[in-house]
This record gives sequence, structure tokens and C-alpha cells, in this order.
Amino acid sequence: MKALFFSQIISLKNSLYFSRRNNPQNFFLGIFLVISSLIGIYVGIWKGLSFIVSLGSLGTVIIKKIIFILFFILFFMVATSFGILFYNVGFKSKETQFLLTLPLEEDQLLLYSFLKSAILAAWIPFLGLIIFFLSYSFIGKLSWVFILFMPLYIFPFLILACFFGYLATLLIIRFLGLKKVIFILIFLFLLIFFRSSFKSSPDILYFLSEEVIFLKTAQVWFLPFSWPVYGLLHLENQEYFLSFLYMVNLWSLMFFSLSVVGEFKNMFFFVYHYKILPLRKRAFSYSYIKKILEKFNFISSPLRAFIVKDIKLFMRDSTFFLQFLIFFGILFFYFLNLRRFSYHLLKPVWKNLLTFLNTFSVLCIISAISTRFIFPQWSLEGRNFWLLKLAPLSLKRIYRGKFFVASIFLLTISGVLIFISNHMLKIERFFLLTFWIVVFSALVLLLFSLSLGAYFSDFKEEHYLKAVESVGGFFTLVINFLYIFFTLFLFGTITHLHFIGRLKKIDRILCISLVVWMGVGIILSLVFKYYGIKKLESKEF
Amino acid sequence: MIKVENLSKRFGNFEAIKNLNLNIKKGEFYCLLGPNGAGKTTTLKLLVGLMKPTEGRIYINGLNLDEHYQEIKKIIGFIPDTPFLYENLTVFEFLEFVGDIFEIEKEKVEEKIEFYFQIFGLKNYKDSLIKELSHGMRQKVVYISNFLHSPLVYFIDEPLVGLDPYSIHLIKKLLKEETKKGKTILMCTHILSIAEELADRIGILDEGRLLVEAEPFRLKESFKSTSLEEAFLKIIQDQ
Repeated sequence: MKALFFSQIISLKNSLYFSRRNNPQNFFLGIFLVISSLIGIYVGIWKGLSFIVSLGSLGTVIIKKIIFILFFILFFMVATSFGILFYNVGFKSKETQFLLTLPLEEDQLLLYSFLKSAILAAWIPFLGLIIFFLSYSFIGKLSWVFILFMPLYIFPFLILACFFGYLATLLIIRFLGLKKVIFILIFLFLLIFFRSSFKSSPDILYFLSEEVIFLKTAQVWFLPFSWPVYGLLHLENQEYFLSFLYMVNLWSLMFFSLSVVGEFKNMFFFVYHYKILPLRKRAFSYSYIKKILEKFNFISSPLRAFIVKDIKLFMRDSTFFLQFLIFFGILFFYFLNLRRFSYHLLKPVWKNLLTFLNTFSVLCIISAISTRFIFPQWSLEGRNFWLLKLAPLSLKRIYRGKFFVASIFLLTISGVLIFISNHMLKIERFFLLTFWIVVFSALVLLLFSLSLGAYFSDFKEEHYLKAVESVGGFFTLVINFLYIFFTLFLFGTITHLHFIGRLKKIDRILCISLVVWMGVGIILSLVFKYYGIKKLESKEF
Repeated sequence: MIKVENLSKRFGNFEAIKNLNLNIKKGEFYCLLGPNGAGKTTTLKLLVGLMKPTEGRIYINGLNLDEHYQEIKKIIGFIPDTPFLYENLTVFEFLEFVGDIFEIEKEKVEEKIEFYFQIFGLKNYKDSLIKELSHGMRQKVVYISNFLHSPLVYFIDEPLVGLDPYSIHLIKKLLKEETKKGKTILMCTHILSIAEELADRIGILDEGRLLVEAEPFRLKESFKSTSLEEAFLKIIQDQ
């Protein structure tokens, strides 16, 4: 076991050493980008939290509720991410086949796969939460004890989320299968949707406490996703004993979970030998995709071939498809909350704030989709990149093909999302403005993700999804968020100043801002595209 | 058909190819031999453009690879030693995809696929996902994908790895037929018997340097050997 982890550490050390030795310029640029990204995230969170705190006591309540929701959502996000990674690292990877030939205990092998998947699934959320609470502690002027001990609440929480994902993955593959899971999820979504009741209330505090779906569940004291929040809140209030109790709970449950990971070896190897390895399935042909695309005469035959290939690979990749479904699940709960909200009863200042908060939420979803699905489009080619490079098509044309497919997909989602959410909130003013912001941003975020995906493409990784969890994926997410913050800061500030009476005529200012903002978006997209394609062309195979 | 001038490739401080010069005529079957790590695969990858040379020039069909890469890609075919293909496409879909990329008429593609499926015994695998195929089966798919667009120049890396005896016989026959049609083949291998049987000319590469280049019978004569294997060992040991 030690030797296995030691080999992983050595390979990481070697890859850092060789990348520094072979390309020191890129290596230090990478370090610079990571550090600036972290600073960017810190500043972004700090700005957002400062704004909410400036709302007074209501702001403090909102932040606390946000933290509960954040941990609740993260628990399931990390569990899902872990499940997908574990499926690939544990079941699909050739490494497992190799490890099985070594004189290793089966439970050790399982624990190794668990920890490896957990590290991959949890390192970004861990870093994100640390940065979040650093900003939080500086804004609230909290003591050094909070800063020092806060990681001790986050770490076991993430391992517990992974353990939940581990159990769910094993049970789903062993007893249900993906099709049944999709069916059950859809059924649950519909059940919750139709059972949820409508209540109208103009009071934001009432809405946050009583109406936000799952907020109550997120605060249930005996469920592990609430423990780090309660622990941290007690720590903030200097109630050290209570805080310590929550920490002990988290750590003891984490150690218990780790100690029983190996106990599921029978189930794991049953699934591995009888369900995964002998998997032979007849592929659904999706022949209609080609027929539909043949109607688009302006797309050349080679480019069409690539588009059809990309769509088929997407449809046949169950992990890709499942993630997609989960994204729509999150969206569904977002709309469920919107349905309950009485926007039209609010004061204009709040109305404006919520208009842009809604735009922010939609942009976050688009950013997540583009990072998760569009960023790995190049890495998806994997070791087949030689086929791509030897095809009688320039990489620029293939880029255009990928852009074409992704833009139809992303523009449809973004347009529908902003239209429906604006409509549900009954937004009148700035309906068109926010619609245009979202649609244009979707194109920019798509270009960012596709270009940075080309720049950071990794064809040697056994599974392309690891690219999303890599430094490149993290950097893309940060760039996307910086762009979103810049966009909302620009338009949110202008309209806010107007509603508090400090800016009378905003039409002209909005027009100028829109032109400048679009210009910045286009220039940045072209710069990223240039460097992305250049990097791809220089890639050796 | 293939002209290489002063080709070098460095990876950091390591020089994989050192000042390589080649001139392969149209319709020639040229075999590049050498021990493991001699630089055979690197040479092939440089010639098909999967790697960029540190120095030197490559001409295919009179066109400079650096300047006319898009045109050159239309006339070359590459068969790698490890056939990485799109795992989630079926065999037929993959070949159809290659046909579309090279803009071959649909009817012609289907006709050719039918023909090669028949002779390679792949009929029952038409709708199987590539990820379910063995190494040898994948190798056959790569061969068929190359025969589909019938390139002017074939670059083949370790041509017979994982293939059964019947398929080996078939591939040798098909490749010979291709050279008779005027196609040029550059093949890298360390199976000397294959090289002796098929090659018009052999080049022996070691540590990135071309040591000798001659027809198989001349090599044996020059090194006073009864077989190519003996000649090869003498050349390598002399270094």
C-alpha cells in the first residue's frame, strides 16, 4: 500500500521535474496562473461576501444560510464526482488489472482505489472551501483559532462525501444499473416538483428560512453534511467545546468509513468480474444524427464526420451522460425555488439585485457545463489524437466543428434558462439586457473552455475526465468565474447606482458598457483561441 | 517519393535522430530495421507529421511536409504499432468516419468495407464496439481504414503485431500488391524475416543514426552472412 502511494508521489514529482526541465517557461507560467487564480477566487469571494455583509443583519443571516446550502450541495457534488472517478479508476482502469496481478490484499487494493479517487474528486472543493473560509474569517475578523482549525472540519467532511459516493456507486452498479438510476432520478424530480406547494411572501428572510428547497434538510443536526457548518459556527462564536464535539463526530465517522472501505471487496470484485469485464453491449446506432447533419450542406463531409463522431461518443459515454443528468437535477431544484419566489412583491432595489443574482446563477450553471463538458472535448480524443492530426483537415476546422456543435447545445440551454427564469420571476426591466448578457456570455465561456481545453489537453491520461480535475480544468473554471464576476460587477453596479438614485440616465452608459464588454469578450476569446490552436498544432504524439 | 534531408530530433539533451538522410523511390518497399530504442518509431512519426523535427527537411511526393501538410495528409496512410481508435464507435461506424473524412463516395466506401470485411473475416464484428475488439482485430481495422482511401505512401510501424498467421499472410500479400500498383511503403520492424521477404531495400538504424542501407541480398553479401539476421547482428555489434 505504501509502495503504491509512494509510486504515485514519485510519478507526480517526476512529471513536475520533467515539465520544469523540458519547458521551464511553461512550468513557471503554470505556477503563476495557479497562484493568480487562487488570488482571483479569494478576491471574488471576498467581494461577494463583503457585499452581502453590507446588507446588515440580514446579510449575516443570508451568509449562514448560504454556508449550509453550500455544504449540502457540495456533499452530493463531491459524492457524484467521486462515484464517476471511482468507476473509472477502480473498474475501468487498466491499473486495476495490473494491480490484481500483484501480491496485494484485495481490501488494500480497494482502499488504494478509494483514496486515489477521493484525492482527485476532493482537491478542488477542499481548496475552494479553504479560500472561502479565509475570506469569511477576514471579513468577520475571526480569531486565528478559526483559521487554523477550519481545515480539520473540511477534510473529514469531504472524505465522508466520497464514502457516500463509494457506497452509492457500488450499490447502483451491483443492483440497479444506469438506466434504472436515470429512471428513478427522473421520477424523484417529478415527485418533488408536483408535491411542492406555492406560497407567496415578499419577506426575503422568511423565504430563506422556510421556502428554499432543502435548506431545512441541510440544517438537520444529525446528518453529516451539517456537522462541519455547526462546528465552524460554534468555533466562530468561540464555543470551543461544542465545536470540538462536531469535529470529533466528523473524524470518528471518517475513520470508521475508511476502516470499512475494504469490507466491500466481495461486492466490488463480483461487480468487476461479472458485470464490468464481460460487458458486451450492442451499440445503438444513432443513424439519424448523420441524416440530420446531411441537411446542413454548408458543413463539409469531413467536418460532418467529426461532428457525428463527437455526438455518438458523447451519447455512448454513460459517465458523461449521468453527469449531464445531475446538472439538470440541480437546475430543476433551482427552478423549483424560483417558482416559490414572490419577486413581484419586492422593492425595486431588491428586484434589481435579484435580477442579477438570477443572471449570476444561470451563468454559473453555463460555466459549470462548459467546464465539465466542453473543456474535455480535446482530451476526449485521448490516444486517438493521431487520427485527428493525420486527418486531411486542419485543426482550425476541427475547432470550428467542435464549436458548432457545442454552441447549438450551449446557446439553447442558456437561452431557455434565462428566458424561463426571467419569466418565472416576472422580470420586466432588463429582461432583454440579461437575456443578451447570458447568451453572449455563453458563447464567450464556450470559446474560453474550448480554447483552454485545447491548450491544456492531455492525451496520455487514461480517462479524459481527469482533465477536468487537472490544473487546466481548475484554471478554466477560474477564468470563467472571473469573466462572470467582471460582467455582473459592470452591469450590476450601473443598475444598482440607478435604483439608489445616484445615476439618472443609464441608457447611454449601458450601451457604451455593452459595447466595451462585448469587445473585451471577443478579444479575450480570440486570444485564447489563437494560443489553444497553436498549442494543439505543436503537440507531438 | 520520400526524401529526408539532414533530419534530427532532440528531446531535451537526448538526440533521438541524428542527421538522417533517406531517399525512397515510388513503388519501393523500404524497411527500416533496428534494435529497440533505435529511433524507428520516432522517424515514422516525424515523417507523418506527428512530431516536429529539430532540424532537417522532409519531402513527400515532392512536397515539403512543413509547408504542405494538409495536402500531404491526403496521400499518406499510417499504421501505428498500437492501434488507438475511438472505443465507442462500432467497426463499421469508424470505417464510415474515415471514408467521410477522405471524402470517398458512400457507395464506394460500403463496397470496399464489404470486400475487406470478407477477406479479413470481420463480418460478424461489423456492429461491435471497437473497445470490445482484441489487439489483432483492431490492427485489421486500421489496415482496412488505410486501404479504404488507398494512399500513395504507407507508413507502417511493426506491421504484424497481434495478427494470426492467416492475417499475416494476407497483409503481406496485400502490401505486395500495393507496391505493384506503384504505392510506396516505408515499414519499421524488428522482425527480420518479414523485412527479408518483403523489402526492396533495407536501412539499419541504431541510436538514431542510419548505419547501412542496401538491398537485402547485398547486405548479406557485404557482411558475408548467410541470413539477414546474421548480417544485422554483425552490423549492430560492430557499433
